Amino acid sequence: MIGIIVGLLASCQTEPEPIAFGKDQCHYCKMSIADPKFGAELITDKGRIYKYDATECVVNQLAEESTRYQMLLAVAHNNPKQLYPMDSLVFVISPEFRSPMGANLAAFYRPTTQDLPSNTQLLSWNEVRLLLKNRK
Amino acid sequence: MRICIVLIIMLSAWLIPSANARTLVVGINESFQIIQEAIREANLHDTVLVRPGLYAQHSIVIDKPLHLIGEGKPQLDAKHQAVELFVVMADSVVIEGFTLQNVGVSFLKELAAIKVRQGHYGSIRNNEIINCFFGVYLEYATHYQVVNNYIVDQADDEASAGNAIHVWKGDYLEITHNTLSGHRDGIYLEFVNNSQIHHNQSYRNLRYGLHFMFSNNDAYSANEFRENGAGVAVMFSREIRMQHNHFSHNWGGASYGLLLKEISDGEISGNYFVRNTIGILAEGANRIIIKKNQFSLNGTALDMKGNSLDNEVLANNFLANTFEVVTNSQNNNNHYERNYWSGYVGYDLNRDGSGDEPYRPVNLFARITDQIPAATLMLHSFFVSLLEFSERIFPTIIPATLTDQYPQMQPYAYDQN
Repeated sequence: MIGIIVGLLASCQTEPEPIAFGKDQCHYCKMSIADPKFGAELITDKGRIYKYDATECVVNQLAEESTRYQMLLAVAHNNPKQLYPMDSLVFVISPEFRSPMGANLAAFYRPTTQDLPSNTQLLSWNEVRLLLKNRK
Repeated sequence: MRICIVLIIMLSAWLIPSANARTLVVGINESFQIIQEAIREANLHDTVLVRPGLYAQHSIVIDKPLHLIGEGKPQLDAKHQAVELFVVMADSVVIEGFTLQNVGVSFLKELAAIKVRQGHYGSIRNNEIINCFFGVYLEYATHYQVVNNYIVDQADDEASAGNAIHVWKGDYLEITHNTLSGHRDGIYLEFVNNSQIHHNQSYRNLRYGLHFMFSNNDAYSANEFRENGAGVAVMFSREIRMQHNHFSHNWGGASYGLLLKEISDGEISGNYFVRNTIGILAEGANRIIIKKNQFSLNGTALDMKGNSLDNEVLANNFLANTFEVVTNSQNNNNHYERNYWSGYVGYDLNRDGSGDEPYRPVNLFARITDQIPAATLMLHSFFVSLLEFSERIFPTIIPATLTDQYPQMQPYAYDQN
């Protein structure tokens, strides 16, 4: 009996879904998602999946409406197409990275020094949110 | 007399350098076999002529004003390596008449067949660029011409496609008569102002035929955009003029003929929107004049979101679209006048050419499918007709002020070329 309940509860957790590059559309900006170095995904409390072409679109969406979510993910620039939980990533804002929506924002999963331009500042997800919000 | 002497001096000053300009020839039986060596030997404004043949040379840097001509389309092959073929780092460089192929894909570098890093008054024309990651890539370029190039890729993995023509920061560009296919975007412009894009053919690109980001005061006309992910996207831009283009067969869930997102003060006139899922999707589009366009056989002709203000929709033909106008708001802040709507069934008893009753192009079912897309299943059903009928008697859901006061009885003669 307990097993069944646990099973039911577990089924409420939605698994992340890989982005179909070239087919999926950004939930926020309506662009087709095409650049495999960028992209993000939000899974709402109810298990609905929203996909984004750039991490800045997630920031903008969350700034506009307080969407309740169970999981946030983003594509790592150093491992294209692959989604990682937002908290496990570090972020860089630099003109070297021309993200689809113009914020020059790239996400990295365990970057090596080769992945990054010299003198870059690594930002956490929360720092990115604050920085972009203030810029607007 | 003095003027005469001055004139002669000026003329000769102008003629002498061109008399001294040399032509350096590259080819198997010529003095140069390596293109880069000819460039090294050349003086400013010389011509480097490349004879027909296959050259396995790449990363050729052009760092002085030069005219590079390929004779009989010589081929430069990057053999799928992560390298570029031509890199331009000087003003007044002309590259014409080459076949450039097989520039490899790199996720970290945006590799192009021809990359211009800071250049002014240059020209790239009459080249064939085949199976390259990016085709022509301009950075910080002004007064540049990209004319009559054929840029085609057959990326098997769609997501690894770059753009056919990509511009990052440009001013006074002319991009004309190019054929662009099989890339991510046919033409991608970011921070590009005062530029003209016309007579291009852009088809079967993965994302957009043409894509504006953060660009102002540009015009595109007489282009054809078909079978792309979406025809054209104009985003975060001002003062874009869009005239006499064809947007056709852009089908699919995320497909539009033309996507407008956060743009203002433009004009969309004399265009054809044929067989697109949505002809125009306007989100946050303000003060745009949409006139004398033809919308035929689209799923939805015009989807005007509620955050679009003060647009003028004048004298267009709406012919045989499943839905004519769709919106997600009960208010209407745009003006519709003197359009022809094939859905209009009123009379013209006073014979003045426009119907006696105003027309409401948004129908109830369009509003329902906007919120519940799966309801499309019920299209043309008896139940929906019943709903439509009752909504016409007691309107509650459709925007009350979204009317065309003078719906035309006859379509305008805009077709068909």
